[in-house]
Amino acid sequence: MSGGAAGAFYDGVAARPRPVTLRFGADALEILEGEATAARWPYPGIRRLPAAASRLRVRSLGGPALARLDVDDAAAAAELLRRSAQAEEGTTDRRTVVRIVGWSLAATASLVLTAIYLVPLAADELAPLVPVGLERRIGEAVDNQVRTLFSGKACAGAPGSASLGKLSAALASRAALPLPAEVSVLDSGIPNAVALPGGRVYLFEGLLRRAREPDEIAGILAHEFGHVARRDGMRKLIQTGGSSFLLGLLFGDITGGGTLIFLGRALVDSSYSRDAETAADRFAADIMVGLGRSPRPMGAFLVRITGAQKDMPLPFLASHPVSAERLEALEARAVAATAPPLLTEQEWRDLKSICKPG
Amino acid sequence: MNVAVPVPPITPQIPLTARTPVAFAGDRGDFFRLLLRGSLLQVPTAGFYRFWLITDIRRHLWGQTLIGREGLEYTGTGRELAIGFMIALAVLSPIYVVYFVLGLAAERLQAFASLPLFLILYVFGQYAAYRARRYRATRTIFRGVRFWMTGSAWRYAGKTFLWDLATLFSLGLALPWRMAALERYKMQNTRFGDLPGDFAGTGGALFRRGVGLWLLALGLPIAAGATIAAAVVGAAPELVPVAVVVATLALLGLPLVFVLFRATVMRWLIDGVRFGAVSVESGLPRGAVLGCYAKWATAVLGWGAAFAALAGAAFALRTGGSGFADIRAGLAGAWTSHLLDFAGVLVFYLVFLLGVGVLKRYFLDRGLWAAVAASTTVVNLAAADRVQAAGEAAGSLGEGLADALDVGAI
Repeated sequence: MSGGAAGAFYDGVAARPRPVTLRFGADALEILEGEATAARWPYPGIRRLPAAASRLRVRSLGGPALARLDVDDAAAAAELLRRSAQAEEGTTDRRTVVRIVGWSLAATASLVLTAIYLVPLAADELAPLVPVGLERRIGEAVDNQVRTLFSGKACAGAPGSASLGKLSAALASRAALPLPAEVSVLDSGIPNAVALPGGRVYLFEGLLRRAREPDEIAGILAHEFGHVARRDGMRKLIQTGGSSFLLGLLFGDITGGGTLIFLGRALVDSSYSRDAETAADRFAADIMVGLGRSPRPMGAFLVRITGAQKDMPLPFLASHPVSAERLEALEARAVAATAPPLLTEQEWRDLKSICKPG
Repeated sequence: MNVAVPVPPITPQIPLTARTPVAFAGDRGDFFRLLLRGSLLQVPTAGFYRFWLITDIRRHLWGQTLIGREGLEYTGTGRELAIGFMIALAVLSPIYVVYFVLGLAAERLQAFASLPLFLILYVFGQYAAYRARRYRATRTIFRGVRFWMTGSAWRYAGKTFLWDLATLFSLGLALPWRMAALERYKMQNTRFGDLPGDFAGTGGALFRRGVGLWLLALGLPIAAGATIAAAVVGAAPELVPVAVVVATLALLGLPLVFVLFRATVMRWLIDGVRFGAVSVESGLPRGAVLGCYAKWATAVLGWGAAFAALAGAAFALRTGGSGFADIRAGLAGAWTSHLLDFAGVLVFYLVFLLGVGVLKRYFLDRGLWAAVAASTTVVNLAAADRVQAAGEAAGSLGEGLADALDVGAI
């Protein structure tokens, strides 16, 4: 039994501070208000709480949850801490931190591996199960967005459209598509072509402008037909939705808008679409060879329009595999042409000017 | 032996107009170390440590805030916040899926028609903000008695939505009355034990204090637009320097207007706080708030410059090391090496973001908290002596939702 000291006691029931003296009993702190005992706190249950620097604030595990004792006397505070061996427990200690870090790492690994390996697998299995009717409806939604993003005007110069129809029909005759492809040219300077879910294929005018012969465009179209045949658009939709959802879970932003999620998804998506692109290339080469034309011009064309990609600082972020690789794969399938060109000179000129009025 | 040491009078019998100053006693170094440690721990935990960091921050800010000689206390835990976040994910996941499907359906009708669906998440965010405030209130302890809240979070979200529409259509003129109405709802549903809270601030008072800033916020861009239009469309080359000056003024002036408005609002909010016969006065000087923002802006610019230099050096080292000659060979199959690159970029980006976060919490969250505390006075605190404890600790779902929807406060 050592000396007593002053403190302010809050009983957790009334908001009035009660001036008290402390008596250090053998196994418990006695909080005295005058001569009466206001509370008796066993030392093992006493826990320290954050407070201003010169003050010790403690509570007792056994008592009312919000009962508090403030001790401003340094000697009394030191004595109380000396007797309450577990006073510092319950704050974020080292063991808690290690546990949090360990579980977080495990959760991260699980989500990332799921996004990279399991989601594409699920997409592969699910995409063929989506009814064609539903895919077409989803395709319409995506179509609206694509048209809004890329100025949106589809070119319909009459002679050019006829050439495009002839070319598409020739390719489709060899493609065995699960749903009919609808090809049109979008009036946009970007050299690109896209296949949407539901079989819609867009050639951008920028691509036509840079093409030198019909086989180049035919190859690209055949490549997009490959995406349609394999239902890559649908697959990609499922896969992107799934991976952005998982990565969103990870970073705590489930609407998927954050930059980290964008970067992570780009990585996961690109690893997946590399396979899809290679498969579509193979499909295109099969069609071209089947039509008696060589797939080589398409490869050369790809290199011509995407040659700059080699200098990209982070090539793994590119969704399309690098053209040189694709060129080599197409090169391997090169054959001498055994059939006449797919379009006549006049038809080719018509196609190239499909977006020019009159 | 029982030695009675003279007890310092904590709340002696004092007149009803007694003024009790509020102070913030926190140590800068302590807070900075706490931030640094918590932020670094967010890297290996993919940000998951944030719940414990936020808890540590609040424990510090609350615990070091003194009303007279008596400290506030924050009793929330990181575990509660993490659980709240998990439940929020469980609640939001189906909503996210429904939102996605609705989005697809709406897109079919018209491109980007799904944008209004953001409104759903917006209203949900307000709901979350109210419930998060309730969580924080019930984890705030003063004199061994907790604060707590009644009221309906949905009702609050609805009110917010309607007032925001009014604010939008009145070009911001309705903003003071919006703030007064929402704060009144929050404060009239807040209690300290059995002592009901209230808010005495009025829209009219805030309007009078802020109307000048509102005129500047509208006037600066209009003036800039008008002079630029006059110089460019009117083909008056002699007006170009004037346009440049006015545009620069607008560009620099708008953030300043924002900060001054923030200072005005903060002071008005604190000034209006009432609990029974206890009232609060704020003498928050605009200069103190401005100082916090100025220090923060300077620190962020400095950090950005330092980081840009560091990132540039690292990038030069990386590309210089491999060389462009073998990039083509590398492209053929070195997927894993790219993966490493990617991980590097990710970590770099994370460190940058964390640094920005530390600076924001140090200069804005702590700085403003300390400035507000130092300029606040509680009048007639003795009226709280008879308060009896009431209310229960509320769940942390609101905090989780607020975190997931990004509408959280400190």
